[in-house]
Amino acid sequence: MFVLIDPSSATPVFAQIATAITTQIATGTIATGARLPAAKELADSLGVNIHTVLRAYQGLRDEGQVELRRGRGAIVVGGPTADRVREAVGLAATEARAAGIPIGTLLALVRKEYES
Amino acid sequence: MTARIVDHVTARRAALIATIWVPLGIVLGAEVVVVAVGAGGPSALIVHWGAGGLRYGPWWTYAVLIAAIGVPVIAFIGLVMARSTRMAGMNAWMPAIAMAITVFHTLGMGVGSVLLNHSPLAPAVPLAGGAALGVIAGLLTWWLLPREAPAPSETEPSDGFPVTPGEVAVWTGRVELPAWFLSLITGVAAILVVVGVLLLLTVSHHAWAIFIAPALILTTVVTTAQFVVTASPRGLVIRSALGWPRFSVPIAEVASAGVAQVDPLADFGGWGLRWVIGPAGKGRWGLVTRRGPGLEVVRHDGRSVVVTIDDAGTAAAVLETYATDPT
Repeated sequence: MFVLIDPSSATPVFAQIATAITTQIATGTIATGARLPAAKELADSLGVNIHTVLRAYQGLRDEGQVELRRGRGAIVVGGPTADRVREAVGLAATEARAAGIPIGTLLALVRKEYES
Repeated sequence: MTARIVDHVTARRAALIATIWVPLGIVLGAEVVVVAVGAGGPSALIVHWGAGGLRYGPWWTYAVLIAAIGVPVIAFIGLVMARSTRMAGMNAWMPAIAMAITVFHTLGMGVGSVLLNHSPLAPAVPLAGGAALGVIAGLLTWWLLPREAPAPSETEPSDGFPVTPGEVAVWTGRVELPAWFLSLITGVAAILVVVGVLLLLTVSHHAWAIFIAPALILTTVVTTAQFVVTASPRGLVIRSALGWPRFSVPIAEVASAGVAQVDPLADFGGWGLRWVIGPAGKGRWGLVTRRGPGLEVVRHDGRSVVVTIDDAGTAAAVLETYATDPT
């Protein structure tokens, strides 16, 4: 798992951590059933307060992406849906390449579908 | 002082001769001596020198013993040698180990015990003599056997990320022992425990010592089954999931980080937590669970740590990003 944060950014650090983890769950870099690093450990490594990491983890739990269990840490559960989305996106990307549609247009299409 | 350097084919042929054919010849020779001496000697020989006194048995007990140890040992080390990718590094020890074990057991526990079959000289003299000759045979093999040039370090240095000042990058991953290996080890420990309980209940009240092995096995497995690896601006930390043992390389000591192609036998002589003299002549720690790419972190003094993790490239890039120049 890879997390890159910028403490000077306008986006709060807990949100940056959550986004990094969400992206990796969606792309399959973090597999379903995988255990996220202990909050204290990740906080020490990033040089942030443990509550910042816990807030990120609680956000992921509220979104149903991880399960928080006392003593066992954070377990990723958001796999199956992400798998289906990844397949669909892969299909869309293949179609776009075949039709010669540039990636910018594809992203715009995805955004339009998502927000409609 | 060091052995002759030859090409791969020659080195491999020499290694297989020293690992399989010469030890097989020694085993056969020992069998001939045991048969010749045993068949013409007394019908019963001492076959056991224990705390409970001497036990006698037929002379061919020794012939069976030599074959029962020799053939599996040669088959096992021969298989490992035949499968290894190059005859250098830790692999060069395989023929020496095969030779040492063969000489020790054929002479110490076979021929020696038949020729010198009376107390108090036996079993101490044959065993000690066999052990000494075994060590000498092993060292001679190691010294005389030609081998390949050590493979140049295959570590591919990493470039790091374009991190702007103030940004913090952290990579974490896990190293797990394969599930089949854990089940095998746990199964062996469980069998020992069951046997121990049966012994305690039925035969002997002194059988408690049999529990030492499973206790050690389980302690080792529990503490080393899973490691958490973290690469961060603070450096590299490899920590058992239980918190101990723990290894770390502070970022100030990191000279470089990269992806190494790990061959467990050739590079470390096996799997698990390993320490060897690396290709650069400096100490090299390894946490090795499989063949393939792993993270290698080199310190300023040349010592290094290798750990077989997936996505080693990202971990190496994080460390490269924050590694400082020694100057």
